[in-house]
Order: sequence, then structure tokens, then C-alpha cells
Amino acid sequence: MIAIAILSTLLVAASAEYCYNDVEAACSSRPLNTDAPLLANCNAKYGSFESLQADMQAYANANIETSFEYLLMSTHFGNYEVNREGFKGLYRKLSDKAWDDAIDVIKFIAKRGGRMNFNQLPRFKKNGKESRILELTELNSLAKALDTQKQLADEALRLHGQATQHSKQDASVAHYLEEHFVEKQADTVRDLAGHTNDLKSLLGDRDASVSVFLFDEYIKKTL
Amino acid sequence: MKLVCGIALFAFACVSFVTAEELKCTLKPADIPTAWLDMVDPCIKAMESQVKNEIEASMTYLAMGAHFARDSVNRPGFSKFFIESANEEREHAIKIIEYLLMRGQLTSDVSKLLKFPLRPKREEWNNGVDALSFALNLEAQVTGNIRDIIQICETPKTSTFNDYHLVDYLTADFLDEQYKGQRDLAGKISTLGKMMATHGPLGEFLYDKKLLNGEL
Ligand SMILES: [Fe+2]
Repeated sequence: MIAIAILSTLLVAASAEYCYNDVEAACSSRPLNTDAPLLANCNAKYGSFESLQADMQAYANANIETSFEYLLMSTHFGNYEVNREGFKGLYRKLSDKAWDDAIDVIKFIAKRGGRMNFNQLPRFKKNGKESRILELTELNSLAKALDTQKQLADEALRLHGQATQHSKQDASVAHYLEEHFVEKQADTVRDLAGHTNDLKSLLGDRDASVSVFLFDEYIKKTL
Repeated sequence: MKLVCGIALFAFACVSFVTAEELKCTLKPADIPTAWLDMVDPCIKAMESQVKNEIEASMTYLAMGAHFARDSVNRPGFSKFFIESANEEREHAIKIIEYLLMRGQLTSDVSKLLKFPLRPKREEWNNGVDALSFALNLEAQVTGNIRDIIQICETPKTSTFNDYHLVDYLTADFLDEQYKGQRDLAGKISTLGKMMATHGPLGEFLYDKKLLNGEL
């Protein structure tokens, strides 16, 4: 009798990751002698998502943080002294995009059986004060935005690399990153690099005020 | 090298871009009269801190959206509802910012408007009623915040300046939305609470699908 009990415990343990076994155990007439939650294995976890989860959470948080940094940059260009409608709109658009991306990553984490953790710090964000200066001139702001977008793009590539690594291959994560991030990020980075170089050549002028005015109008039209 | 990059803070970032020729990064500011700037300090401070409150509410709703999206919770209707709320709260913060900009504020220190990192007030809830009740209490708090701002801006301690326009805007726009939103949440808690009292999981399951299909 004891032998049968031990054997059946071993069998349950050996096939512990199956939802079906959980169901069988839960529905059997024998009372369950465990504190584990009911049907613990009836989850959406498969592949290598578990090992990628923390990085995905950090990426969602990076997008949230970036989104609010852009929002404050946009705010600065909206004050009456600076008064650049184009730059204001550009950073508002980037803020909206990062916010939507964060929500999308959170939904993806949930889809793959994970959970969001808002305390998982972004990997590439500096915590020093210097990174939080958001009252920038036109060219400085473009430089900051370009660097930020490149960091986000690099992190997406790094995550993609993780997801395609042999030991923890997960094509679903890799495909999600490609489809949702990698492609569009290339466009955003290129646009910002282009803007930065355009503005650079305009700022060579002795009096750049008219150039910056025209450039801001141009930016507004591209939105 | 001339000090073309303006204030020392920005100098470093500029220098890295200066190659052969020098760039004019900072433009000479214009002379703008300041007589039109009539907002008083306590009122400005109160409005600025409301930006933080709205974003905290937004982050909390986002955490609710994330919680109800989990496989073990599986309430897509609730998740959708709370993510929409998170978006609305973010819009509220932006509306406050836009108002301050319109009144000539936020010309310096925008970095101090938010405190990073931004965190939700809580990350897990027991069920739909628990989350909706948490939301209702959160909204009641925000309503209280807005009423406080109205009071401060109507009768500031430091001056006799009654900010009619701001008070009217907050009353007509923000308070209106707060009271309607609170009534909606209270109604939802009532309906769902009654169903869950007798048919716990089934009540929540049905209610979730109604939320998902926008039938409530
Ligand atoms: Fe709000």
C-alpha cells in the first residue's frame, strides 16, 4: 500500500509539468494533500519565455520611462519662450509611440504566460542626474532623441539575439520583436539622424534663428 | 572657442557635435513682456503636482490592465477597460500640462514635473470588484486633489488673485469627468458585486465578456 502511494507520488512528480496530470489529480476521488495552487501547470508557459521574461519586463519599463521623458521634452518646446510647435509635436509623437509600445510588450508578456513587473529596472537607463536634463535646445534634443531611439533599438536587437540563441531559442519572442520593433526602429533612427544632420548644417549660419524657425516648420509638416 | 553653447549644462553635449566649424546651438531669447503672466505661485505648484497624481493614476490603471491580462486571471474585458483608463489618465496629465503652457508656465525645470521611476500604487488584485473598488477610491482621491487645487487657485494664501479661468476649467472639465467616472465605477461595482455575491466566478466571467464587447 505504502509502495503504491510512493510510486504514484513519483509518477506525479515525473510528469509534473502537465496540465492534464493536474486535472486528473484534482478530479480524482483521493483528496489532494498539497498546498500548491489548483492546476498550477495549466498555464500558457512554453518555450524559453521564462528565461526572457525579466528582460521583456525591463524593456516595457524602458519604454514607459522613455515615453515620459519625451513627454517632458515636448512640454519644454511648448512653452512660450521656446515656442517650437514642430519639435513639440515630434516628441509628443515619440512619447505616444513609446507608451503604446510599453502596453504592447505588457500584453505580449501576458500572452506568453508571464506577468508584468513594474520594478524590473530598464537595462540601459542611467540613473544619474545628467540623463534627466530635458530642457534642451533644438539640436541637443535631437541628439538625445537619436541616442535614446538607438538604445531602444539596440536593446530590441540584444533581446532578439537572446531569443535566437541556441540554448533558449524562442521564435515567438524573436518574431514578435522583429515585427513590432526592429523594422520600425530602423526608420525612426534614420529619421532622427537625418534631422540632426540637417539642423547641424543650418546652425553653421551666423544668425541661426531664421534657420531654426524654418526647420521647426518643416518638422511640423513631417508629423 | 567661443561660448556658443550657452549655459554650462549644455556645453558638454554641444561640444561633442562641434567638429571643424562651430555651431550656434543656443539662440538669443526675445524680449517678451511678462505682465500677462498672472498665475500665482501656490496655484502653479498645485497644478504641477497634479501632473504627478494623474500619471500615478495612469500607472496604477496600467498595472490593473496587466494583472487582468495574465493567463491565470484571464479577464480580457477588465484588462481592456483598465488600459483604456490608463490612457485617459495620461491624457489628463497632458491636459494639465497644456493648460499650464497656455498660461505661460513651465518655462523652466520641466524635468521636475515627474519623479522617476514611475510606479503603480499596487500590482495585484483579488478580483474584478476589488480592482473596481480600488479604482473608485483612487478617483475619489483625484477628485479631492482637484477640489484642493480649485480652492488654492480661487483664494491663494499669498495674494488676492482669484484665478477664475483655471477654476472654471477645472470645474467644468475635470470635475465633470470625475463625478461621471465615479458614478460609472460605482454602478459597475454594484452590478458585479451583486452577481459575484451569489455566483462568484460565473458572475465575474459573464461581466468580463460584457466589458470586452462594450455591452455595459
Ligand atoms: Fe484623471
